[in-house]
Amino acid sequence: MEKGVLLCVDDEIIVLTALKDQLRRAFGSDFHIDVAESAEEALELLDELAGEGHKLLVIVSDWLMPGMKGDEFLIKAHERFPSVVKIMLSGQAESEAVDRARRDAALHDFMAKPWNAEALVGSITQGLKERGLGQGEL
Amino acid sequence: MGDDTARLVQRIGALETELAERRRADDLQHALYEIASLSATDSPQHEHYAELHAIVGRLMYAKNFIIATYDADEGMIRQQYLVDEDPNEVLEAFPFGEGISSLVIRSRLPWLMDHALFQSLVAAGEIRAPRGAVDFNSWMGAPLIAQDKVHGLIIVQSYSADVTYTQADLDLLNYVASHVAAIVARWHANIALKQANDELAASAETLRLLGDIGKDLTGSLDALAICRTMERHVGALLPMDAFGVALLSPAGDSLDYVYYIEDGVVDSDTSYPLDHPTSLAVLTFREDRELTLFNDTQLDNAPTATNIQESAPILSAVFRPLIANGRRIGVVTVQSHLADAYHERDLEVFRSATAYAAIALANADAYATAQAARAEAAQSLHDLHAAEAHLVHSEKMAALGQLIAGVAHEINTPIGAIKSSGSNISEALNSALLDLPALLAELDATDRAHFSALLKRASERTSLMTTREERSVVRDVTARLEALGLDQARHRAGLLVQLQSHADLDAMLPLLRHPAADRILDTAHGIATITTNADNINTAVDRVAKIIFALKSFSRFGGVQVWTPSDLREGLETVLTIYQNQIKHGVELVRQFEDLPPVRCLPDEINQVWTNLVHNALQAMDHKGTLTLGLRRDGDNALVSVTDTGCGMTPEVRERIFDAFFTTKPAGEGTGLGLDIVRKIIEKHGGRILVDSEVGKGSTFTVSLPIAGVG
Repeated sequence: MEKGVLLCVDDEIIVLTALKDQLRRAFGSDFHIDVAESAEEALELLDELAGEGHKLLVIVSDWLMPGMKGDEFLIKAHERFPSVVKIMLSGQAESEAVDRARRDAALHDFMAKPWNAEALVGSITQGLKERGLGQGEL
Repeated sequence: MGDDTARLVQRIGALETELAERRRADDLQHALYEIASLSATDSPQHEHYAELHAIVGRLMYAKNFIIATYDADEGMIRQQYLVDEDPNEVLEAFPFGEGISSLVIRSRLPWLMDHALFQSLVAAGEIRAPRGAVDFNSWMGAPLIAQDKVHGLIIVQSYSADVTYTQADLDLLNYVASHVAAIVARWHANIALKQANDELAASAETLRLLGDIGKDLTGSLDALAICRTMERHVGALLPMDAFGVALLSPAGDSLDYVYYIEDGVVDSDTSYPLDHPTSLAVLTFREDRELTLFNDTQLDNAPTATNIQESAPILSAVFRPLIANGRRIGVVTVQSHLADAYHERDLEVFRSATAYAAIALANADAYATAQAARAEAAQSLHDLHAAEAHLVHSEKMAALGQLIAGVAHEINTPIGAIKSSGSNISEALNSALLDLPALLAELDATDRAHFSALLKRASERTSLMTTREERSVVRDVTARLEALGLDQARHRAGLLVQLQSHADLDAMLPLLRHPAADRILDTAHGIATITTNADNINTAVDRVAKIIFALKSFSRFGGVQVWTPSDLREGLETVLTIYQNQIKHGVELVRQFEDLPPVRCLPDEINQVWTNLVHNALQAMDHKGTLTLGLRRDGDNALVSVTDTGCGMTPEVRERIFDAFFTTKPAGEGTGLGLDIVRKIIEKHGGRILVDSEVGKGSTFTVSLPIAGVG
């Protein structure tokens, strides 16, 4: 079985670059880190990963992106992967959108940019534990 | 018999006398009763005097009969009733003097005159003969005395030699007169009362009229309307052919006729300087006194209205200063073609009307001033609304005025990337420095060369692939690694792509097949991380620079309304970073930060507060001095203080700084919205902001926020 996947979605490459290394360092030995520059690309990727037998564990998504916004994307992802840990990481999000994501996508956490690395890693770890996907059980 | 007859005659005579006397007494009794009945009348009419005449006529010969009244105050004797055979005798009034009537009044005694007595009195200088001759045969006058006061006299006289009055007649007349006197006194009193009442009514009417004038005049707040009202009222009460009102000019150096009408023609605006030699209005104003002129040469010399052709010369004129609240504000005049047109009562009316007009005109002036001020205020308010609308409309401009308001928000993304990349670098450095020596020790010379080449490729800058392209390449490389029989193909493919060493896999095979292949790749990746993250930081910094540039020309406010526990120190540091450039030249930065739990707040808005306060502080000290930021806990509140060593504020300025649109900055530099927004944000957070300031020393703004938040 392939490693589980942590997916980061952000329209800013600089954010993806930083996140990728940050999360790889924290989770790289156990999970595969994947990134996408838009919600649309991320949805494609979800299909590919499912086709390749990868298990999606975590999505960290921006909210304000060209095209589909973070809340809508997370809701769509939630329909297909209800148990995935979903975190919104955004410098600009409407409170209604965050509320919607909390309600309809079982949002695990909202984090504002600039974010704290430990806080993000901690939040992901906690989310995985809550879903019985903690590192110890893999 | 003779004696008897004589006694009888005497007896009859006595009886006749007794009967005559009794009849006379009856007549007298009846007459007095009739006189008393006249007292029912309030005021005497001709018929009442005629009745008195008839009554007296029944008691004695009274063919010629006069009743006169005497007014001691005026010294006048007025004949009220006269019947006389001599057609030359008519009712007359004459001053108390040396005539025969005056004698009666002066002596308070009844007089019976014959020629001899009359002549001797004339000779003695007691009386003077009227018209030089005595025409009567017999004359009687009795004073009308009541309550010890002479009210007049009754006169009867005979021109006939057949009738000569006796002492008994005089006694009877005097007796009747004493009764008539009571009636005449009563009539007198009634007449005086009626006159007093009439006068009172007249003066009450005058007062009412003046009151109406006052009401009319003071009811208007328009100077011209006041002038016309005064003209109408004064014209109704006094002779008036010309009327004018001149007011002191605003500059105070001339009298300007706001209204002048003569012979029904209204004059165009006329103005006289206060040093005009012949203008009567100017003279009146200068000397501050009423000017009353009747047929005076000053009237002829006075200037006349230029466009009015006088129908006749003005012979009477009154000028009076208009004085309101002790201040001379102008002159009003009324003039007439008549000579001696104005008497005391006219002047009183004119003075009263002038006093009212002065108050009304002063009110009109005050009202006009107030109206002008109101209009000005309304205009200012309108301008302010327009300015506000403009500001609200061009939100971008308002934001630009705030300069940094949205920066904290806009640069959150690159700051986040920078922060993460920074920690990525330091962690990568740590592990690389730990791992690298041991790893190198394990590699032989050839592998070291391969490793060195790997690091070189990894650190080369290439064009960035999109995530999609990268995934495609990784998929391709994974397949090739699998074809080469290597495990962890996907993981290694990812690393190789990151290390930019996927193109020539053959060159990589020695390292991929090395027993320490994972550590070689991880260490290389760690070192590459330093490069990529350093690049990332550069990119992010460029992005921040771009955002700031963008914000300078096009700023926008975001809509983040998420209550988040937030480290205030981080927010403050973020703001300080934005202002780093402005701070580092000439400002000493002092941080007095204590440890605080995160404060539940709207971080973007709170950062906007710090931005405003830091921005203001730097401006207040012109970017030279000490900026002290404080952070401490006060019970359940977090206290943030921003202290500058700038110019400080006066108490007046300090009171207004939180008002919208208040600014001390030159036009165009500040919108005056900064601290207004700050106050609103802090209020939204259930917090407070306090200001302590001293001119010349600087200001401290202290913000208190509940740590638990309110949202």
